[in-house]
Amino acid sequence: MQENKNMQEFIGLILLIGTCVSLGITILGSTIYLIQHGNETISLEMLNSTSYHLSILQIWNITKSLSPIGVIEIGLFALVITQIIRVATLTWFYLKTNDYIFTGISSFILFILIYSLLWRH
Amino acid sequence: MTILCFSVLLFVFSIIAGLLGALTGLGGGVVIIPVLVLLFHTDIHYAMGTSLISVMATSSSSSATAYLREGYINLRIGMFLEVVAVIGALIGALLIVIIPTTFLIILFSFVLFFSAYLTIRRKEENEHYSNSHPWAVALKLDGSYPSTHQMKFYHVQNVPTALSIMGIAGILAGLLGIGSGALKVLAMDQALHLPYKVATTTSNFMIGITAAVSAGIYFSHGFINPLICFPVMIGVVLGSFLGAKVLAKTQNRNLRILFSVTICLIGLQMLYNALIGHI
Repeated sequence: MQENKNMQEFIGLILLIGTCVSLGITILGSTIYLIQHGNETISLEMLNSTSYHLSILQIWNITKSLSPIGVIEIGLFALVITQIIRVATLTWFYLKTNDYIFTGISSFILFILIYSLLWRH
Repeated sequence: MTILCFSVLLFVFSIIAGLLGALTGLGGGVVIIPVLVLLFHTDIHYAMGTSLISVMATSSSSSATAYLREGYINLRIGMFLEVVAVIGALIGALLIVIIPTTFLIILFSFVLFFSAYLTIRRKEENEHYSNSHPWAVALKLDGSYPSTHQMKFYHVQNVPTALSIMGIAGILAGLLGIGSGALKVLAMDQALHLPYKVATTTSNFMIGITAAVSAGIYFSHGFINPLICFPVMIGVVLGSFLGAKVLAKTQNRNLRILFSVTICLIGLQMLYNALIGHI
């Protein structure tokens, strides 16, 4: 069955908005970061540091401090959120068209996505 | 090297990664991981975390601009196969700190070489199916795609085989950070017998979701380093926008060759990493 054309375009639009928002935030954060630190020498320790932990709870602290690295992290996180929104939209679409097998499939993927995001090491 | 110089270099490589990722359905990891590990001596786990970001960026931007609007992607097949891939990815990412992956990687690299041969060998224009697999009928997986003049209809084959390949693809995605796109395209091309552009674009749509599952876990390990990820993310998005524009004009045969060469490179890269003990 050919998928509803409008639905395809709607998901396309969601992906476009998500990508642009995430790209915009990342560009903003990286520009500020490069202005402040661009001339510093990069070290292996900076590349291999595990100090960048991000969780839903820590997002609040990052937004409070608004360091350039924090802004970039929010941009990257927005990319992950975009994937969740697209699966959520598909779930809603399948539910609306009474396609219960695919509603189940997309709900399951949505659940796993959210679960993995909340998963803590 | 200054941070600015590092970022600009990585940005340029990422444009290439995005372009290649969008055209082959493989995501950007194939370029990003070797560049980070071999050129910048980044730890493999950070390279894999960055690769996940590049995969999500490729998937979102290429699907958004052209593939969904032009009707290449088969959303139903994508979502159906994604269930198995997602479970696999979760298992794989949870096993990342436990499993010795060297043997697995060596084995997988040979699977990739064989897959490159299979991809080149298939001549879809000579295949004509009048029936679909019963599961494909029940789940309404058949679809159509834009051909030269009109939308062309296709029948979906061997669904259970594709599901098995997808399970393995998911586990490898979580464990190794790369390789999942390769098996996804193969499952759709070799098992489901989909038209090649439908296989690569649907894979492109799916890999973003699979990567997001692993990304949550990589985030919490601290393996997603914003310093490495920002030039990659920006470059990959630009590259995949470009790739999505090029795809419609590219011949299937050329895409198959590009894909085969790319997965051979992934295979070689995996062998190299395994043999020098990087993974």
